[in-house]
Amino acid sequence: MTNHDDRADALDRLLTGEADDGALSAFLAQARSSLTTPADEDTAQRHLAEIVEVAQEHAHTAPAPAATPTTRVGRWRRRAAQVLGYTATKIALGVGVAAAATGGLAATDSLPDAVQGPVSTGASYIGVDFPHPNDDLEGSAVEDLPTLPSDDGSERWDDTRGAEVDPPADQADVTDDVPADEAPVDEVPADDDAPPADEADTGTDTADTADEEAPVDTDAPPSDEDEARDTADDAADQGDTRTP
Amino acid sequence: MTIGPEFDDVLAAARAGGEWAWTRIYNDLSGPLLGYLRGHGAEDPEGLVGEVFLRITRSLESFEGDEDGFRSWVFTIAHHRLIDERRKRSRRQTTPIDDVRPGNDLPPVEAEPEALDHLTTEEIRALFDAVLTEDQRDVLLLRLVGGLTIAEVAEIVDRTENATKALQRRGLRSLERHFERNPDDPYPYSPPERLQE
Repeated sequence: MTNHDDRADALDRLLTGEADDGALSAFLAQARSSLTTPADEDTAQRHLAEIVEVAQEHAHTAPAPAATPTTRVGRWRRRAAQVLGYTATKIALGVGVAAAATGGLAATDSLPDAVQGPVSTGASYIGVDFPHPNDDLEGSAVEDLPTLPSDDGSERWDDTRGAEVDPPADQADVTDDVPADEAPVDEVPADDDAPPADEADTGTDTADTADEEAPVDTDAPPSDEDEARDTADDAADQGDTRTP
Repeated sequence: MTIGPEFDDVLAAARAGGEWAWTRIYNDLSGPLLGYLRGHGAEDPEGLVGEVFLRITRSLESFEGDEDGFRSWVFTIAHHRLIDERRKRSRRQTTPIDDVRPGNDLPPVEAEPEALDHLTTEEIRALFDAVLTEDQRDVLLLRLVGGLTIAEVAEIVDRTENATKALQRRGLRSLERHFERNPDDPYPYSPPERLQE
């Protein structure tokens, strides 16, 4: 600290009455005391009457009580309750909006499977029936999906929606290169042409499911086509067992 | 004197027109306000204090802050009101107060240590007039009777903190020199009653 700063601090202390500097210090103390002498009682009462009158005219929107001062604890408790009330309202509103949006999407099965499943399960507890993602693999929904033949004789989904039935690269190439009319299911060769197990992997669970759900005429005698399909199914099953 | 931890409650009650709250604020601030206006030689300091409080009352809804901020705000209003009064006074072309002071032509009395206990407002004001510039007096009075910090004073007088510190330092040094040079006669004006003592 420089002498200049020391000097400034000393004057500061002098001004606030913390330092004694003889005549100057005494003068400052006296000046403070003398100058701040309150107004006489009548003047003060007159001032206060005018102030209160004007204040009450302007107080139409004032929120605080005018009678007694409230405690600090009570004020904080009120503020906390107010904040919590706002927060609870916002949370409830948010939950309601989210539930409405999710419910709407869930009812139309528009949610991702990872979300659709829990929502469907949760809704079932309260008696609301939302489609479950596994429902897609059951019933007639599968029949509505376009299918492409695979060279193992089974059908697979013409899946453009994701990776759930994406075949391995070599299999995909084959499928893409072969037009559907050149390899119809009907022309799949019988047992001796069954694909090796690794190629049968392409069937996956979906192929199995599709075959299981395909309409079967149980009254008709087994034909060559049926036998060929059975063989393909067996091969696919073998592949499934090796597929994790 | 300050209101302290209850200030928020007092302020809220004052906004609602509570008499007890305004009494508390008035008792806390009217003395320092009077001191500031008296030290500047206002013609009717009590009347000006009443006007300042009425302005505070009408503008209280717009105030936001703590007690220090409130105090600073009140003195800002008083400072502006004082500037208005100076302008009015200068327009009226009134005779300077120094020229009409009784006893100005009288020889000064010898300053005795015990005489400091009876310093009058006129004596103080005469010394300020003789020794300090108007800016120095602004700063010293706001600090001395207003109890404001350098930063708060700087805001009120619209100067930087360094400039405000410099004004304070020069003002105090001028007073100190005056007392050193006039150890027996520090006051340029003494009231008639002191001359009769």
